[in-house]
Amino acid sequence: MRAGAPTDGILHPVSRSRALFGPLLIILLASPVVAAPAEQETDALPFVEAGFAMVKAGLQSFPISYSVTRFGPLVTLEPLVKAMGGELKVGPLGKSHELTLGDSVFVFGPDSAVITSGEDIIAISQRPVIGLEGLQVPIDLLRTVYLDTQGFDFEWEADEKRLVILRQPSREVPVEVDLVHLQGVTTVVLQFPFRPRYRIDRTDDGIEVQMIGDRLLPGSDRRLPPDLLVRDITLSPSQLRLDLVPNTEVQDYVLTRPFRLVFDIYGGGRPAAADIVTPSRPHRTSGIRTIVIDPGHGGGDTGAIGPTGGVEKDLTMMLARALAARLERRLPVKVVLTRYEDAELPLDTRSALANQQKADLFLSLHINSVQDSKAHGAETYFLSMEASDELAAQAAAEENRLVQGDPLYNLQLILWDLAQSHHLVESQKVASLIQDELNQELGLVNRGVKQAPFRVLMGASMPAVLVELGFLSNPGEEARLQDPGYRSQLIDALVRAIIRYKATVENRLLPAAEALP
Amino acid sequence: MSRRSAALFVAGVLLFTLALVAFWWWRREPQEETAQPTGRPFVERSVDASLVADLYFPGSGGRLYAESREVAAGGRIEEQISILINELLRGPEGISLYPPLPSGVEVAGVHLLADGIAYIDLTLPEDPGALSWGSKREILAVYSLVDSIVLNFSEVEAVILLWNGRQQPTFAGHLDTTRPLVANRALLAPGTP
Repeated sequence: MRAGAPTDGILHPVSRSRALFGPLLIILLASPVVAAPAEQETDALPFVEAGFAMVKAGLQSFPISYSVTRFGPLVTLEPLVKAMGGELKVGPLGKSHELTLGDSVFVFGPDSAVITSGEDIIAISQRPVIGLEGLQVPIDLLRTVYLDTQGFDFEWEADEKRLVILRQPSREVPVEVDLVHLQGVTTVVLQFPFRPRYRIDRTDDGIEVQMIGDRLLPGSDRRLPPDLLVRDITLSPSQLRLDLVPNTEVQDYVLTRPFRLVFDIYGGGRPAAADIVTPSRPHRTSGIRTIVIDPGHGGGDTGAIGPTGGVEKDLTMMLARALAARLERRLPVKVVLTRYEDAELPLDTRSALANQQKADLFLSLHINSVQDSKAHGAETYFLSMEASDELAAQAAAEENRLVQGDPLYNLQLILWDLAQSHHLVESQKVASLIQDELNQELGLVNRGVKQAPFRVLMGASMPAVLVELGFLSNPGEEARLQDPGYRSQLIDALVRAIIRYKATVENRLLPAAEALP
Repeated sequence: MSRRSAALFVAGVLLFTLALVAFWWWRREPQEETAQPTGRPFVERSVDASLVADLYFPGSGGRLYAESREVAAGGRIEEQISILINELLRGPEGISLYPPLPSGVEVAGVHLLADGIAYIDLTLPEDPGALSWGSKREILAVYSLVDSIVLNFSEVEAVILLWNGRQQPTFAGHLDTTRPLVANRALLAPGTP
């Protein structure tokens, strides 16, 4: 018996089946259908064909050199840049290429199937190659560079060996404008249903968002509050203009899902480099220094109303103010509220404010209500992008599998998912600590940590939770929530949870008892 | 081994291979049949075009409870979905359950796309967002609709809700309704089919 062979009496049948399958295995492995050799990725791209193609751009046409690999066509970039605009710079080694179109700078080269634009990394279908007349690039690189910035699309007609440049038809783009001023900084948020084609121009006294081919439509006719730094906002089909007071500095950035263009306007000069906000990136922090607390609802949006008239927006405001004061007293943190008065604030602006403040933690405070007047207790939520459903999970897994097999898989999605995954893990930790403290100290019914696609949590680039501190629809709980002593207990529980979370993040694992006030 | 013996051996092996492949193919078919989804749909279309559907109503414990109804049906799937929503809007028969939406809400239109996304347009007497609801009530209202539609119609994968003809950020200030919503079974009361 060979060493390691099983001794349970099944050796003989196994050996017999091996004897039968041995020749079969040889045949199967030799078969080109069953055991086709895996296609190898090689550095040298196998060119299927090469030569000259015609470029057709409106009435113009001119020749251009091209080649075709198994991943598709590549065309010489330089004559196209001359025809469509832009400034192309080539690095000293002849590899790095930098194409500037207005404010947008795209960097790419022959060794990488990736374009970078600012902080964005965009995958393309294949690596550009260096031909006799300069860099040859795939068609999707041209689309990436020219479609959003200039409104040009490209179509490769393989049979005709022709590259057709098309001017995209004009689209109507509704825009919602929000403005909020907080601690010397004005944030203007332009929200679009999809990414428009635009260019940002800076003038001496303002900012102009110029549409490229698209036409702006005003969204709701909500009146914006007067502002110290923004004198006026004017909208025309071709541009949106922010008139600014002199000596302002502006940082702009983009938030997605939905697409938002955000301007942080600073009075009296440029912010320190360390203060520049990059909310679309994973927010890395060495501790909890800034906490943004969002008192739910406000203004005309009252939130829930209790049977004896208790109003959610007022209770959340009182709770948020008291929580902020107690946190700043007990911890070396800066606490900022999304609203300091009874004002209506869009949900997306609340998370944008937290991003603007570079918050390390975002807490949205709410009071629940439901038709069942017996429902009571606290619930803590963190974000779910999908409903917690088995089918959704299966669908997401299948989608991920398909997307990852796609050579055009966008690296931005990976980065976004990584950032969101990191935040979700942290959000779940915070939610668990908060729920634990509320349950233990107040003897509340454990309604548990839950996930929901809450809008106010979606744009936050940091751990973010929404806490429902009781049911206003329950007469008994409504009465308790009106009691300052009870609210103080709720705040103590939240403070303890935040102290524990801060200690966890900063690797100073405080026992819960030490964290007690 | 002579050339003739070798040829016979190879032919034998090939025949054996073919037999194995045929056996595998024969065994595979019934497995595919059993892999068909059997959990859905709950819709039973009878000859007189009535259907028995489970409607999900908010109840105690922040859960949705199923109530079976036989409703008149027939025609296109959109019409059947519209009938089902109207039945949901009529409210529950059980005394411990609650109507998911305020009175006065009507179905303005239902459109089912080929990708399984159903657009449900509801007419509301007041603006969405102006409802003085807590998040739990909003979650139960939205998923009462979504679960009743998705879990009863296998053709529907997800639902996009339009309020007064427009897609709104939220219905009552909390839950994002700009994306397709899939069924949320976690909200169903224990024991719900």
